[in-house]
Amino acid sequence: MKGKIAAAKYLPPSAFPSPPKRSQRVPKDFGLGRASSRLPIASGKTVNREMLALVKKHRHGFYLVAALQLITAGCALISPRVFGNLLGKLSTDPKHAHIITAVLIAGSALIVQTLFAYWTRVKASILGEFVLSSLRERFLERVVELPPNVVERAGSGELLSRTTTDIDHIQWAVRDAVPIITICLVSLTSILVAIGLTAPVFIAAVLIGMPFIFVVTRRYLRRSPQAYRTEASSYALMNSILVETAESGRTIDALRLGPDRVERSDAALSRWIEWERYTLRLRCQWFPFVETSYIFPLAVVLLVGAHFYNLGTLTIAQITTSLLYSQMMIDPLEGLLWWIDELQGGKASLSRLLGIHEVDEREIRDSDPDGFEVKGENIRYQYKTGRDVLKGISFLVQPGTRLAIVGPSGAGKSTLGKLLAGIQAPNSGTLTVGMSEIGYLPVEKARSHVALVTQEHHIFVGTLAQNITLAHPDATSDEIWSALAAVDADQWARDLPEGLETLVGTGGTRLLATQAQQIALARLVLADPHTLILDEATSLLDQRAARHLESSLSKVLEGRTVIAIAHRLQTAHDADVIAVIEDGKITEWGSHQELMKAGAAYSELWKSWRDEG
Amino acid sequence: MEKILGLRRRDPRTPFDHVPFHDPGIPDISSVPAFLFWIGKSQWWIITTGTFFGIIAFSSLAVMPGFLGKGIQAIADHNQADVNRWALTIMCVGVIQSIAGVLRHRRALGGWVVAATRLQQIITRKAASLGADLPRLVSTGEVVSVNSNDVERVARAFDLIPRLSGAIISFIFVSVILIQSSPTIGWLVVLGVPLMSLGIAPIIKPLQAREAFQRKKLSDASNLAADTVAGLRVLRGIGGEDVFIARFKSASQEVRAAAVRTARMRSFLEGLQVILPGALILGVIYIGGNLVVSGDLKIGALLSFYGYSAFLVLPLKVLTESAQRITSATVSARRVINLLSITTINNWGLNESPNPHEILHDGKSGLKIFPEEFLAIVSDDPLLADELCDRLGGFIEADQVYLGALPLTTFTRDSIRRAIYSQEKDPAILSGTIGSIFSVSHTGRLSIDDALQASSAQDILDSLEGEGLDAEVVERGRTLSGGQRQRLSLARTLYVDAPIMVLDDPTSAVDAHTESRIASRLLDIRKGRTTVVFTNSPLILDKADRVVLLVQGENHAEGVHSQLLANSQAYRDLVTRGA
Repeated sequence: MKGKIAAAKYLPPSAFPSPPKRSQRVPKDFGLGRASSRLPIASGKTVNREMLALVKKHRHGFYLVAALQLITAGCALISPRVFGNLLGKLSTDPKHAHIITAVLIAGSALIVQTLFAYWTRVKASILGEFVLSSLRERFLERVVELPPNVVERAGSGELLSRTTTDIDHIQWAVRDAVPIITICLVSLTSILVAIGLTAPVFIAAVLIGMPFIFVVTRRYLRRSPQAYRTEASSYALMNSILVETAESGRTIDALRLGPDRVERSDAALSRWIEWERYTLRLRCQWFPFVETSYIFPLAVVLLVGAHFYNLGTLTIAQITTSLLYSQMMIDPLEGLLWWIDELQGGKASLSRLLGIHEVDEREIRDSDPDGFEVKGENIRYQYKTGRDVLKGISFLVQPGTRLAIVGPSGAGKSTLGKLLAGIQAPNSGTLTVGMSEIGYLPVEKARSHVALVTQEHHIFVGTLAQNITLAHPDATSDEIWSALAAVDADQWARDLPEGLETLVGTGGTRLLATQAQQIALARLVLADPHTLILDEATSLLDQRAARHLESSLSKVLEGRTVIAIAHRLQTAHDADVIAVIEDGKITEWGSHQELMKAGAAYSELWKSWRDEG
Repeated sequence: MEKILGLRRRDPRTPFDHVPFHDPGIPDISSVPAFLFWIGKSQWWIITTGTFFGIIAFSSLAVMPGFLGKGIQAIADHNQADVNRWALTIMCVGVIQSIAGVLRHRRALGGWVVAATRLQQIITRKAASLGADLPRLVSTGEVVSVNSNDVERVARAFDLIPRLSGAIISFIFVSVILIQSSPTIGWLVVLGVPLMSLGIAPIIKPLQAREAFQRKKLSDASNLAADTVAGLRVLRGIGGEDVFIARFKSASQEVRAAAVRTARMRSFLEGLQVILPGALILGVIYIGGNLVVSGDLKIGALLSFYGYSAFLVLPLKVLTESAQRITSATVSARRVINLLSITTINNWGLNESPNPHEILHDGKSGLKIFPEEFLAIVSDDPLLADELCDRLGGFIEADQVYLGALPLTTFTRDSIRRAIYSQEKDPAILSGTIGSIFSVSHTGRLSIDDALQASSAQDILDSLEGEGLDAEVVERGRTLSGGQRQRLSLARTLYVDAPIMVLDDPTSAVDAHTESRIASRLLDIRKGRTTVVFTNSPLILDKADRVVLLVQGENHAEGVHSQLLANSQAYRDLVTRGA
């Protein structure tokens, strides 16, 4: 088939599957991607409950909007009635006076209607914006409180997409859908009541299309929300492929991957088009039926009206008014269906947002550390059952010691670093700081004692000073400068256009990765915990700069316990104690001299590193 | 007929079955109208049929008030046959309208999908062909915003055409009916409706300005949230959450304030949209009522007039919306054209066959690289080393590097990339499976396993989800450690097996044991090929055939590692490790 591109070859396995065949429903988890399993998603029940709670909390706002709309809709009903009556009177008694009265009444109703329409919309928007802003603020509050181990596990991508894409998706649903649905429901009800007051027989006539609308709409709404979500996500996939192409231009060029990128993007496009086709089919099975159902009642009103007019039980005025009323129903009915559709789509996003609230709290056993001693006893840790990464590690680090941890990649050094910082608790054994189990302390308390800096760095949008004073918002500029000096960063910081007040991060002055690493360390100097874990914290600096930084840092950190994980043996050489970790166990422990004398793995490593082997 | 209706029982066809294109073509980017015309020309069939159904759908709506009026008149006249006839007509017109409506919708959607697809394909091809030059010439943000926002805006203009043409035709249609049946009311409505739109016009601009301001505030807030989340690990590690929450809350409240300001104005606009047509209808009732009193107009006709003037608001809305959309489409088309007008930095030649067995000579530093040697370069300035690495690979200043006697720009870009592979300091890992990362052009001499082995990278596979080649690297390798990323990209580079290979500090993040393993395997695997490594690691320097020391980009000393170690203090300072 022309235009068909083998998607399977070019799309990542976690990309969205093709739409289902005819008459199948879209599975619930479509469009959520694979990563979703790492963070919970709220169930439909929870979402409904939360939405109800939200409405309840703001019920006064809703009552006000509904009341205002009732007046607006009531005024809107006056004009057709007046006009219908006018036609009726003119058909029997054509007099100028009737016209004047009718125009005056309808005109006043129009003015009141306009004022109240304005007022309703303003109040509805204020309400919607208020609900929306409290929802997004509550979400972010919860996100930054997530237990560190959850943050580690979830990865930034998944959290980011919930923060940006999902919040974006619910904008419409929360802000507009709920108030507008209220408005439409009030309008529909009042029109029906007005028809009932004009000529009750027509209520049956206008409701004739309703069961039909209900059936096709229910079918549509069962399939549409997930389908639209997936469609939007597969559109986003094309964009992320392009971002990758643009950001990795140098690598793609060198590997001559240009044609491959084109194929990849075309494959994503085909996937998106398949979904466009699917949602189009859904709409084609819905739109025309609903639209026809709007028009049929008009014909029915005419036929029924003629019958009763001939019997003399209905007047031209009643028929005309009802005809105009049933025409007026189209607008709110359309609005209702449209916004229910949007609301369904918003629900998928809302369930992902609310899922954040269902993250398991980590177990807390609060106590106050006594002293600065770091002690591990038979620590074991595993990521996957049956595969121990740490296989029974015991050690004792005296306060003020500089300990270096070395060993081959994959030996478990970084895992030990995370345990030491209290991000995870060991599966068995105990790891204590000042006799308290660090893995069970509340986050705030744990980090006031132990802090971890890894090779991962992030410069926040803001000034250089804001970036350094995270833990210490009221630090003076002298303190900031001395922290910068301690990490050899004062030189370039002084050269920045506006010194400490220079805007950095996305959109601001670009800093090098090495500078970001220095900032990470400067933050730590200001935070001033008694125990510091540095996991390859200077790995991006070249070796001379790294060594210089480490020596100036150690002057400032005199008396603090520093545990450094490093692949550069320089760091080990300068440390008081070295621990060699191999395959999840500590195999050597001692000072550089002692280990060199022992002539085991460390001395081999040292010799080969210095190229003396 | 089937093609026109788009209805076939078993295999539903859509107007966009033929996309994505195998070849999206070369657009005319000489001017905005030419560009839009070029897109439109290629999908004229969808546009024409869409316009046809658009006119039918709108016209069936337009005639409805007339039939309702006739129906009421027939009731008033006690003419049951006519009542039946008009009721049936109304039902038929209703059915025609909804069928034409859905057919129009299919083509409108088709118009936008086809245009968006074509533009996306063209932009992707442009981005892929610019390669390394792209990030130097435009920011990623710019590319992405053109690809998502601007493409969408341009393509939406094509979704508009069926509706717009339907609106215009039905407006003219109704105007003619009105003027023919009653010139007074007819002219009142025909002139009144455009006047109303003029009345609304002054609000549109400030409303759009407020909306733009609101969007800006919203994107500020969501950038702030994204930034906070991106740095969440740092934040959780060291503290400062309160500060960030406070910042986000105030940004969020600014969004709210801006949104409420917009909402007030939009509500005002909606108020005008209630009162202006309402006033017009009152005018029609007044004049029409008097005509009925004087016997010049029938009651049913008055009802029709009422309906017509209410109907005309609809095409008016479409017209207002179209004006806004077309304006933004032309602005966006300009931005798309600007992106498509970018050309590569180097002017590449046509020679297809560079000889990798010639001497590679850098004119700027005077450095010469001999065929089949393993050359290590030590530089006192890492930035100058990066530059030289780019230059040798023909990524910058390719006209100053010579292969034999010919500057690199004599050759085609593709043939130079095939001959020389230059790996930058922090190469990108593209998301996908291990299999897809290694699906690159290669000589076939080495297997993926050989390459993984040589760069000591087999353990990475075990740490990923999925087995073997199906193991998936997510988030562009951000979940891997620096050392893992480095070894994986080295494996990919070795797998390509280019005749000339340039590596910029390929082992800076790996531990000593691994580094030493890589150093000796690298030598084996590159035997008989030219290899240049920028490094300070004695483990690799020791293995090199020749070492060059660059001081401030100039050739300061050269020899083998042990010689330089003995003779050059500057060299010792740069490469010696330990106390």
